[in-house]
This record gives sequence, structure tokens and C-alpha cells, in this order.
Amino acid sequence: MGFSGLASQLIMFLAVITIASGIVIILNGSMNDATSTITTQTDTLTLTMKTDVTIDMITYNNNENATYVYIKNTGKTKLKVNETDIYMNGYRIPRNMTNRSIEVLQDTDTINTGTWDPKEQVLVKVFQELNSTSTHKVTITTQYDVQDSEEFSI
Amino acid sequence: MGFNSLATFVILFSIGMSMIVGFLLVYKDYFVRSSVSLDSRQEISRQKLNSDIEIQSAGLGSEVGPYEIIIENQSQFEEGIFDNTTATENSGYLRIDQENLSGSWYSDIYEFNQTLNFSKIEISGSVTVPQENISIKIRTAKTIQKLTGDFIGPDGTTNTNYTIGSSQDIYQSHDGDKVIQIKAILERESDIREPQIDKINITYKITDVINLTIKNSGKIRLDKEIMDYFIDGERINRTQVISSEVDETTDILNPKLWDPEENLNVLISKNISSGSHIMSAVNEHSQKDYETLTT
Repeated sequence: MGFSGLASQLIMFLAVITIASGIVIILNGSMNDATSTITTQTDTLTLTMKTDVTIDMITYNNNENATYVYIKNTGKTKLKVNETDIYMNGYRIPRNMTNRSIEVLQDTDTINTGTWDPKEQVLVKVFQELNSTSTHKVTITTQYDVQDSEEFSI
Repeated sequence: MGFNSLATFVILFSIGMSMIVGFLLVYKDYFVRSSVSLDSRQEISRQKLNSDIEIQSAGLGSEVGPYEIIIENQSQFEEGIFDNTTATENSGYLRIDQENLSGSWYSDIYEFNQTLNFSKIEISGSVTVPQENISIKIRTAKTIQKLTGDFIGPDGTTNTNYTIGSSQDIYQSHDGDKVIQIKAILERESDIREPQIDKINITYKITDVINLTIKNSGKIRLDKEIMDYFIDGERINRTQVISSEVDETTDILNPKLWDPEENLNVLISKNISSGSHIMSAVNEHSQKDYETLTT
């Protein structure tokens, strides 16, 4: 390879680098926006993947016509009880309805009072008369769309 | 290769490289954090899969105790209600206010989560009969709301009192209650006399005890403080767990930690009716086991 061949290759290489850098600089703004969006989505994904809840026990109280559901936060994220949804036999119990209540059990609420921290247990009460001749299903869904369901009979 | 072809190649290659660089810059954080999240998710799943418990035995246990309620210093007396009495600062004894010839004191209300048998009361102090008089009575109840009855003495009536001196038996009707309050009345003939109470000591035992032995039959260590128990679906408040200790005979690895293959001995205070019951235990990863408890 002569000097002229080497020089032309070097020039081509520098041209490639220069053009590529120029494109990156030009598109920097767009990339920042894209990065920000991706970060937000990643945050959501991270929280979802770290969240887990498990129903520990379901009991039906005949005197109150109420279903008691004890659920443990078996994940690694803090959850909000007022953003938790409850479904009974597929029907959602609206959050503002007086026939449902949800609270972090005091004797488990050792960190951040009122927040459903990992390892803490909540009690959900659904005041709704249930048919004793069929099985029922309760589903609990957290704010990150992670849920647990269990069937029970009374 | 002609110049035009070379130029085209350079341009396309540059665009390709910048797209790759841009993609890596944008998604770098996503890949890293997704990997971390996946690890967390896997850990949660792994802990659940590797965690397991087995209830080895469930039955009624004997009384646990004795425990004591001790009132002996100023701050403990001050938790109660003074009526022409006061508690002195240095030695903490209870006495009548200077200008009065009699006074009374009501202790703080002691409330427990467990059902108790009250055994003995011992009162230390000084009194010179007949110029001075100290009388102590007790009342108890199942709940604070029901603590409205009379204070009574050792024979179960309002006519007798517990007195300063050696330990005395507490009247049996208090057994089975969860709330206790003490009343003391101090009297003297003149203000140069000073009857005083230095210390009140009540001993009691916890009754209605359920005894459980639970094996860690999984592959990971468990936290014995984050266990939940249910009887017939009714949750037992964690404060009703009297004790939860790894059985010494199985505690081979890491003393006092509940390792795999080790047993946990649990004492729970809970009054249950006679018959068959379903006892449930749930660990921190929501793995559970059930056992029939027959009384």
C-alpha cells in the first residue's frame, strides 16, 4: 500500500468519525428526551417487578356478613393501602364505598406508620353478604398492578 | 472501488454507528436497571419457593410466669391519680399531703393482652397502728370499659384490705381478667404522723396458653418475629405471642436464629372454647401450614 492509499484510508476513517459525532451531537436533544422517557418506564418496571403481595388468610364473618382478608406485603416496595383495589367475584369494590375497609394491622406496622411496608400485613374487610352454596374469589391489586387472588368457601 | 461508492459506504457506515451509539446511550440505564429488577423478582420468587414451615404439634400449655407489676419510684406513683397524697422525689414513697389527715391514690390502669391469674400482693412501707392506717384494695376486669366495679380486699368484699407486710394471696375472683387497678388509702391522727407506702408488688401468671412447635422445613432462614397465627381463621395479634424461641435441642446452626431443620417453640395467650380448632401459622413469605388443635 502506497502513501496515497494510506492517506485516503485515514481520511475516510476521520470522515466516518466526524460524521458520526456530528449526528450524535445534532440528535443529542432528542436522545435526552428519549432517555428520560425510558427512565420513567424503567422506574415503573422496577417497582412492578419488586412488588409482591400474598393473601395469608380469608375468613367470612357470618354475624357481620363480612369477608376478612389478611394480605402480606411479600415484596420489596412500599405500598399505599388507599391505592389498593379489591375485587370480589370479579366485581370491583369502589374505593370510596363504605362497605370496604383496608388498614395496615397495627401490630405489624413497625416502619412508616400507615404505609404498607415489606413484611407488614393489612386487613381488608368487605361487607357484602355471600352465598354459602358456592365458592368465591377475592383479588387484591396493588398500585403497581401486582395482584394476588384466592378462592374460598363459607 | 470508485470515489462515489466509497463516499456512500462512509456515509451509511457513519449513520449506522451513530444509531448504535445513540441506542446504547438511551437504553443503557434501562438494561442495567432491568437486570437489577429481574434479580429482585427472582429473589422474591426464590425465597417463596425455598421457604416452608410445618406445624409439628399444637396443644394447650400450662400457665406461664410469674411476672410482676412493681410500683416503687416517684414516676411510677405519678402515673396514677393523687387525691391529697403525693410521691416524694428521692426515695419515691407515697404519703399524705402535708396539710391533710387522709388521702388516697389510684394506680395507673394496667392492661394486658393476655388472660391472667393474679397470685400475690406484697406492700412495703411503714405504718404505726392505731395512729396511722394504710389500706389497699384491688379491682380487675376483662376490659378497661368494664373496669367499673368496687375495689375489693382479700376476701372479695369492700370490708377488708391488703396490708403492709409479707406477701398475701390475691382474691381468686380476679383470675381470668386482663385489666387491674390498685387503690390505696392513707390515714393519720395528726400531721406529725407519716404513714407511707414504699413499694407495691403484684405477681401474676399468664393463662390460656397455646403451645406450638413449628419446624423450618424450607431451605432458608426465617424470621421468628414475623410469624402470624390464626385460630379458626381469626388472627392472633402478635402481642399475644408470649414467647417465640428456637428449640435448644434443634438449634445447631447460628444460635437463636431459626435455620432450616430447626424447631420454633411458640407460646400464645388465647382463650379458646373446648373442641376442635384449626391452628394456622404463616411465615414472612406467606408460606403456611395448618394443624388441628383439640381441647
